[in-house]
Amino acid sequence: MAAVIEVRGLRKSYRRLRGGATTALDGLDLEVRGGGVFGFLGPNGSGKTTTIRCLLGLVRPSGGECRLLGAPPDDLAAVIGRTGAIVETPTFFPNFSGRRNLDLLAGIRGVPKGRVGEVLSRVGLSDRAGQRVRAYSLGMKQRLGIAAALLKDPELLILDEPANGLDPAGIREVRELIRALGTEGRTVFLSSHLLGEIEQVCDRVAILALGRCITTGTVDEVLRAGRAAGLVARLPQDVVPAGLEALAAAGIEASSGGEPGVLRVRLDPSEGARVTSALADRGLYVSELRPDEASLEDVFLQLTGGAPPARPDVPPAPGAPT
Amino acid sequence: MIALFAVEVRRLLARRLVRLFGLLAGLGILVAGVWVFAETPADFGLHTFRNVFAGTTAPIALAAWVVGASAVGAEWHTGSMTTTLTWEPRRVRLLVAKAAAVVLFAFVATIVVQAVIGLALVPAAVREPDVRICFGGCPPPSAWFPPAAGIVLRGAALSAVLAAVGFSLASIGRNTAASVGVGFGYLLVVEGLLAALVDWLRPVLLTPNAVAFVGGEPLGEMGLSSPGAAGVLLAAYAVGALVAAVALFRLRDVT
Repeated sequence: MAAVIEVRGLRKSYRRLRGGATTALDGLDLEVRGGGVFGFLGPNGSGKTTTIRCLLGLVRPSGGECRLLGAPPDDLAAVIGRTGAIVETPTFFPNFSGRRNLDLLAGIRGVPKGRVGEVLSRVGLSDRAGQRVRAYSLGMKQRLGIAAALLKDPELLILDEPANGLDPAGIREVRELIRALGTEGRTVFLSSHLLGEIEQVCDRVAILALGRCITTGTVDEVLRAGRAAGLVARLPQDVVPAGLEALAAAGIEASSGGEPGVLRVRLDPSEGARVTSALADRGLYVSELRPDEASLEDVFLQLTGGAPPARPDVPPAPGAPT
Repeated sequence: MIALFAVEVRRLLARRLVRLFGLLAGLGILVAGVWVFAETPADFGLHTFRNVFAGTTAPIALAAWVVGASAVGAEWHTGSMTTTLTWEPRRVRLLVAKAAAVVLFAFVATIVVQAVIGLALVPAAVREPDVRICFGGCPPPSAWFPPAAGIVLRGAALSAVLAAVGFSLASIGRNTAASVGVGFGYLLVVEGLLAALVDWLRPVLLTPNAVAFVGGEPLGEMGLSSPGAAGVLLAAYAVGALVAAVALFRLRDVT
């Protein structure tokens, strides 16, 4: 499958009014192949939205190159009809109804009017389509933004934080919608800071920090890359010091790990028997022994330099910024 | 381009400000029509329509400035320009379509408003047997219509020019208030100072040339030597402002 998004050495600096410049992108490399849902993760200020703005021709890169469906920013007109996008909070004319806003957008590219009703229905806004956008909640504006992005029936959908402002039920609906869109042969490029959302919906992810891509791959690959090789053992809380001592005596590195009664053992998960044996020799018996699996949140925080407070002993992943 | 232009016209016609101005104009014309019919001034008749249209040109043209400024200023204010650009990324084409819609709207709306004003005053102008109203002495249509129509058409052109300038300033400042503030500040304060202090600038100032162009008569030492030249100068101002707006829109980031 050909790349639908290609970014090579992309740089973007914004000049500040009082002199100097803020670097938003610092040599970003990224490739997104067609089909499925691609998660674009990064902390605030990591350059996610700037990347999207560069791809859509809204801002001019300071260096490097980017292509959307093979087209550089100067030739976006050739592919914009195949691309739907939301950039940050969707913006519409507040005094026009949701339907009128979509009608006007549809008119720009000759989208049939019937399509407006279809997309409004798909995002659950049919009943409120006649109301002014001014009266919409943030969640309804997000839905309208998604409807606008779907209007062109695009093969590439770029969604920048589409779950912002949605309530839990709305987040679930949007998640299911995105998942469905990703299985229809479209490519969904989903920028989000909601890690659970990304983990549940995306096939592949890229994580940004300080304007650079620090890891990319399938969700499993990224989780494996960030996973601390180790085990979690659970003991009664009052014997944790004795457990640490027993493991140390057996030459096994371990520490108490955040939760009461939990030991984090630096040992390959395949060597779990050594842990139970060392503890049992001292009359200590584990109530739980499992691989120390990192969540995407853990990996994200490790890689972006914000280690989780409950996991101070997790070593930084290779390639993580220091 | 045609589709884009048509969308911009539709967007303009659906705007609240445009509808509000239309409503206010309609009410004003109705009141004026009734008042003039009841209290017909001496020597009022079809032959005086020229003066009526000349008098109403300035407020209509200034309203066109505000509408032009607001048409693009509101897009920046609401952020919907970003959404529009994800549908039409060719910025020159987009801004030119918007400007063309504004200019055409200002031109046509001015003619429509002046026509409605004329229609509202016709009963007072032709009623009989009030002999004060040029009864038996009215000039034939060939004498009063061309000058009146000329004023209306040139006034419509002035509205189009000011709408384009207002649009351009709002596009450059990305704000309606910037355009309206700069425009009205210039017209009310700066231009008066320039006219008083800088002799050589007088022939190229906006207001005297607008008056000369719409009135169809040169203004002596103020303004250019002929109404035609004044019209060309006004058009050049509008085109210059639009070119600057398009160039900046093409270059600047949309954040």
